[in-house]
Amino acid sequence: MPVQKNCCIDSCVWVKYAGHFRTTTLLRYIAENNLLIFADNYLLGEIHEALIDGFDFSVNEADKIIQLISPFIIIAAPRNVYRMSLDAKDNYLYDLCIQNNCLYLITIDKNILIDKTAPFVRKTDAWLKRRKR
Amino acid sequence: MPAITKIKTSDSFKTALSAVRKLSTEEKQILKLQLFSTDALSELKAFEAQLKKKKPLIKKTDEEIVTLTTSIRRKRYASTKKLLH
Repeated sequence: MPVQKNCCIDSCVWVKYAGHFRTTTLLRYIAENNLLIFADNYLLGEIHEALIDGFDFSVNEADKIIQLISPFIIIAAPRNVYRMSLDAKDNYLYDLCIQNNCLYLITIDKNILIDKTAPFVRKTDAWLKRRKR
Repeated sequence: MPAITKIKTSDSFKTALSAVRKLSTEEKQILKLQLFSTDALSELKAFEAQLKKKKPLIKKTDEEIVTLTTSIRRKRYASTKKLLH
């Protein structure tokens, strides 16, 4: 059995796929890459809000998306420790990755992608799509 | 170890339950995915197909999505910071 690697997916990537009704595609990429996904309620809250604000989802529709992606995620609430991300608002995401031993953070946020001080590998969803095992 | 063990008696159920309790969070998640991911995925697929029919697709570029999530994160971070101080 292939070894599963811990990984965190930034809210912008979840929103990109869920907003365009392609969440199953993202979950397929995740499964093909043998990744275990970590998230916390804060991150899920961001996805929920972005779907309503940016993609005109109703509260019920956004609730349902969160409910349906939850089985594929390990919910883990990190403690606030990290203070060195380029933008302080991203510290919690770094904590989520570090405290769950995540090897990868999948994001499309250029400010996070260029942060060479981050103690995990930062990749885009295009990498996830290309890379198989 | 096979993911699904046929449970015939309450004793074997207790054994299976105690074995599951000993698993790590990651192992539990792998087991959960093996058992339920097919059903969960088809439910998600059906829901998104229904949404696709019901709602017009709002196309956004990666930059627009990052701007959207960044503003939400910034707003939430500011309000959490305010609560803590």
